[in-house]
Amino acid sequence: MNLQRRKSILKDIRRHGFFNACLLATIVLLSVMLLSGTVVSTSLRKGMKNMQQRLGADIMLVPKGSKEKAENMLLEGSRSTFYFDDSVYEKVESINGISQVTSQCFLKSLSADCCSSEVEIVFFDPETDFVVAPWIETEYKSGLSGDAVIVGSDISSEDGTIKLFGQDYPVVSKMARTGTALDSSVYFSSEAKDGLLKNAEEKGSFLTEDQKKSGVLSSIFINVKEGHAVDDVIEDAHKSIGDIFDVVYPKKLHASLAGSLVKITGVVNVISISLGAFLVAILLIINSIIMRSRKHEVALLRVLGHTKKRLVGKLVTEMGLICLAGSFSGCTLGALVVIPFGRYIGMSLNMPYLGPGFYGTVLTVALIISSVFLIVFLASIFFIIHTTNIEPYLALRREE
Amino acid sequence: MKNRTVFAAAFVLIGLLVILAPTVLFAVCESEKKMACYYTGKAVIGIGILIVALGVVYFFLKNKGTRLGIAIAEFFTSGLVLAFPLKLTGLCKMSDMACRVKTLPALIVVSILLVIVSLIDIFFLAKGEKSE
Repeated sequence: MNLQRRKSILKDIRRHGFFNACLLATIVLLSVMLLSGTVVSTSLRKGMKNMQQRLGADIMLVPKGSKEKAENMLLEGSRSTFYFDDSVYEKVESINGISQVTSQCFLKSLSADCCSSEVEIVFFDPETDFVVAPWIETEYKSGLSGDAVIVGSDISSEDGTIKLFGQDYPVVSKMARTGTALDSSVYFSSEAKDGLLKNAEEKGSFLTEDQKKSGVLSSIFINVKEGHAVDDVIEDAHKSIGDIFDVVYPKKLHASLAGSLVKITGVVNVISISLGAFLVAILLIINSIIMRSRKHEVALLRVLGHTKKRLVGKLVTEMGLICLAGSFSGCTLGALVVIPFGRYIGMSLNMPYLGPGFYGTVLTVALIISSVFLIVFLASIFFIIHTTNIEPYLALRREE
Repeated sequence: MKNRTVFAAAFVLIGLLVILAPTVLFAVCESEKKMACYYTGKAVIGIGILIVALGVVYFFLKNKGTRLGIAIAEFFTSGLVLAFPLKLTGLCKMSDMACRVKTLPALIVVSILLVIVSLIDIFFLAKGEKSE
């Protein structure tokens, strides 16, 4: 496009300033709506999928009175400190009808030398584990020995090590991103617990009396054998351990959240479709007004020797420029709201929320800009062709 | 005149948002113990007042060169809005605290808006377009 033609197009856009501003505003709104709707619903679905992988157990036993904390932990990944004696684990193992059982112990928010924020330390048993493994991003080949760790996605490890309480621990693997507080967790093998607590105490970290004890657990995850009822297993557990635990049902929690997700995405879809249809209708009206007001100008240009093809090209280019400016501004505005506030949206909806990464965002923005281009093109092309097809004589006469 | 008023109003509005974000709109964590985010909130209020003051001064100045200087100052102040929560004073250490979930994103958004507005203003002023 040469300079003169470019100037002429910009001049034409300015000349119909009011209607083009209305068109721009509509495109901005449409882009904001499409981008926010897409990012929110995709992030909720991703969060739910991720959560499903994390909630790999049928039941989870936690100390009595800690059920709410444990549910929050499953949902938001925020660690809490609750403990029971590790003798419970042995008793649970002997219960009939259990196919898999593993335990974890949490140390909440111990400040570490490595990180600007506090890290949450989890001790788990790699031999029996079936809860942590599904969301380990890179498989570690050797077993998790005492001095090796797996870290959450937010924890950066320089030279493949992480410094905790003055000691370097090799990082053998990294977790996939969860969008929750789990991303700032460090996972140790249970056998490393005593050594780590000793180091923490030596370095002056505050530890509660419960945390100092070596024979404690925070939660026991159980998968029930096929053909056995979960309730029977719980009843047996009550008989053998006593009434010292609460039961959390991770899979049921997921099912109930999945139901909520369907409702939320349903509402988002209905609003998006209604608002989208409304905005497309406005686009059609504005395009019709703009083209009607330009009949005279188009007819004159045709009299001056412009071909129909050239005129269509000029009008489509004008529309394209407005569309590019509008969709880009709209996507920027939408991204400014939904991306930084992603965690807040998830917490407000009480749903797991896993926002898009950099490439995901770029791809979504490109997709939305292309879709908006297509919508605007389809909403304007009929009026453009119709206007350029009118005989100049008739158009000029009607304008008189 | 038109551009001068629009940009002055934008700077004042953004400055007010910077003041209101950690105090009213997306308040930092409430606690008896004064945590890092409390001090960040106070510092950000100070920066917000500075942004508003620069916006008001901008409105009364007719000299383009001086206004260009103020626009550049606003641009760098946007960095300061983020420097306090991210580096200088910091926020609470837990990732699910209100200051990290609400205040920080709000400050990021406001700071980006300030960058965009000041860059557009710098562009217009530097280009020497008539703003009055």
